[in-house]
Amino acid sequence: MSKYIIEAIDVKKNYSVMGMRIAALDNINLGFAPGEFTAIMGPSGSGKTTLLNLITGLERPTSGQIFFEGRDITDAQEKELTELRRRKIGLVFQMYNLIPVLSALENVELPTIASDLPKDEARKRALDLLERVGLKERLNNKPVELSGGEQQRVAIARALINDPSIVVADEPTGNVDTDTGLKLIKLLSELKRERSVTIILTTHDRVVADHADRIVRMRDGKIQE
Amino acid sequence: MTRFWVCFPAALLLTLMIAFSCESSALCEANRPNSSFASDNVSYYFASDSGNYLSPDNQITINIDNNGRATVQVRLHAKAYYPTGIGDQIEIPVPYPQDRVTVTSVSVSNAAQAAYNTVGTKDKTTIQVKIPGSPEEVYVEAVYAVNDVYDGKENKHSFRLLLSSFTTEISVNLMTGNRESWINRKSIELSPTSSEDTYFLINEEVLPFAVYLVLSNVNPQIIELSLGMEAAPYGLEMMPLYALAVSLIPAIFFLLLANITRFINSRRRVGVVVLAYRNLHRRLGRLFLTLIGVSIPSMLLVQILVQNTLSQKMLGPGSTRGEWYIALILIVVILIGGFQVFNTVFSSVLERIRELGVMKAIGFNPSYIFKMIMAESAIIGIIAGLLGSLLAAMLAILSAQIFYGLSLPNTVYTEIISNSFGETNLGNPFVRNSAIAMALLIVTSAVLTYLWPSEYEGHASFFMVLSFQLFLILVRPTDPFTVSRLVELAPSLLENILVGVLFTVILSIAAGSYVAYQAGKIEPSEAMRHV
Repeated sequence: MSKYIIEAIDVKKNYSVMGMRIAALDNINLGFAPGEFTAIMGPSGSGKTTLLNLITGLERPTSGQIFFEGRDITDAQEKELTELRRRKIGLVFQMYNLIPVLSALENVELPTIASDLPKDEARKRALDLLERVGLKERLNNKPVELSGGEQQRVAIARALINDPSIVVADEPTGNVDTDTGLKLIKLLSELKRERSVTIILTTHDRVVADHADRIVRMRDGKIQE
Repeated sequence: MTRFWVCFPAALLLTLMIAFSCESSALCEANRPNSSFASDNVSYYFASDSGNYLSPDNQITINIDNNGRATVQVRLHAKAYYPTGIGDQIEIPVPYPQDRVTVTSVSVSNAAQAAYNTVGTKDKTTIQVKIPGSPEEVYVEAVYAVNDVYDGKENKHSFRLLLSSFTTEISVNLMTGNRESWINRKSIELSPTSSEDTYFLINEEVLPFAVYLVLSNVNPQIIELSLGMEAAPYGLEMMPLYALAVSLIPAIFFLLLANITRFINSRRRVGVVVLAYRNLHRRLGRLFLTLIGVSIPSMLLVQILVQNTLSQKMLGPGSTRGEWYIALILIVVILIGGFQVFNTVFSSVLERIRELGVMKAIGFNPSYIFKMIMAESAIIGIIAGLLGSLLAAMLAILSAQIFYGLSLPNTVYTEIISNSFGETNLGNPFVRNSAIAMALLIVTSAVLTYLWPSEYEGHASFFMVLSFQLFLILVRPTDPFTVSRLVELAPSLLENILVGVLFTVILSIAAGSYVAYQAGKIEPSEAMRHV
């Protein structure tokens, strides 16, 4: 049994663009320990997002293996991967990606529909989480009525609703100003302590990365730890 | 709901009050002489838009002097039609040897209802011809009755004439089909009879919408024509159910929308249908365009179906559109409607491909996305189908009345069409008052809507009141026969509407299914790269 919650072994990912093969990830060996806050840093195009997509099962590696809680998910069926993301992984995106037709509360509750959580329990959790992220007063606002920072906090609450063991955030501060970004990162690290959840985020902001337990640097699809 | 139930009865009450005052003043004005007719022959066709404005002392008096000159005085609200103009005093040349004609008066009481639209009302029409200097009084008694027997495909209507001691020729003209062109005009020559009563049973497949009598070769000195009939009861009880039902359609639509929205917003938890509804609602402008697009084909279909139902029942078999025609319409419907739904659903999926990607990324199965998109198509289908079908049925009924002259509710439309040769409606008190009423009532409902500006309930009450008023004004009280006929037709009409709705829903679902399937297969990582 591996000591890592997620582990990538010899992972390669190639894209072919107009007939040309482009190596997005080259021989990645990386593990994430439970309860660890990891920041993946690197310039655009260094393969950060691709790495996140691979470890959350949104994309499959060209070669290599990915283990999630000791289980090889490299060749897992689409259904299993969906189930995995639903139960174990909370996702936060740079563009917030909230559902515009749903209120903050409904957005937070949304993943519980997929996970078949009883609706009273779902409502309770959503209210708790929204209070925790400081949006108690904005439950019924639609995403357009919220600021970028508020939307990202809703997204963080949404990521946590199914009680995942890991939160994967792709440039969560990329679309907000520095102050708001720092607040979000502080919130994330607080939540990490409270809920002992593993956090993996990507950023190219040094200040943001400094809040992490561990920083992984990437360049041209390679890790420069 | 509360706002609506305050708003609607208040507006309804106001509507009724104003409508009543207008109708009663129209009735008062109706009793003074305001119309007459012209003729170049001593055959008169008395017809009326509606018998409901008859007062018992309506009459037409024709004086014909020794020179064959006749003057006519009409005291009749209902109009007497003859294909020439209408004036107060007219001269009628009399085609008889002048030395033998000394007709002093012809009075016709309540002729209109008798001559027109009476068929089936079971009213008795008596034509009395009196010959002075002769001991005899001649009676022609015509009893019109509808045989309510439908033997499968064709309806037989009987028409009975009772002639007693008649000394001249009489021909009975039955008119069916289009009132303007008087198609299917059928003349039946009746021979002079002895003193015995004679009954004629005229079996017509098609119910005549008018019957008129022509007296010719008359040899008496005085002709007194009297057509007797009770004036139809007047008042609210005659309000056509049809008008009420039809006027409620848009209101019911908005009421439903209001309640659906309320229901959906009150859900503790969003589900497939809620998501679908909200996604449609979010693009309301496009939804409306789509609804129009999808409802037009369903209108086409239902219009044809309803037309068939109506003409089958009223004009007889053979008057309906053929199956190939319906098949053609179906193809058009499938093409237009299917494309519309496909296009809307497709572009709305393209627009939120990122959203769908996110949903898949956070753990939704393809089947959930599929169901959501299908629900959108189904909602479009249901709303468009209902709207289109109801509207088409309404139009088909109206047009059946206008173009076939069938005894459906009499409306101002028919009056305008009927009067296209000669008289304008500006002087018509009914129309004038209706216009005033309409203006007043629109203001009323606008004010009410302003006072209770709840999004859909406002729309609902506004449309309910407005449409009610419109139909109150356009549709006049009609004879019970018409209402009963509509009631009789109701199951077939409902069936047609249901077919239209079902068809549209199935079409929508079919057109949306491909897009929904593709949407379910979206790759989240790809989808989220879309901006």
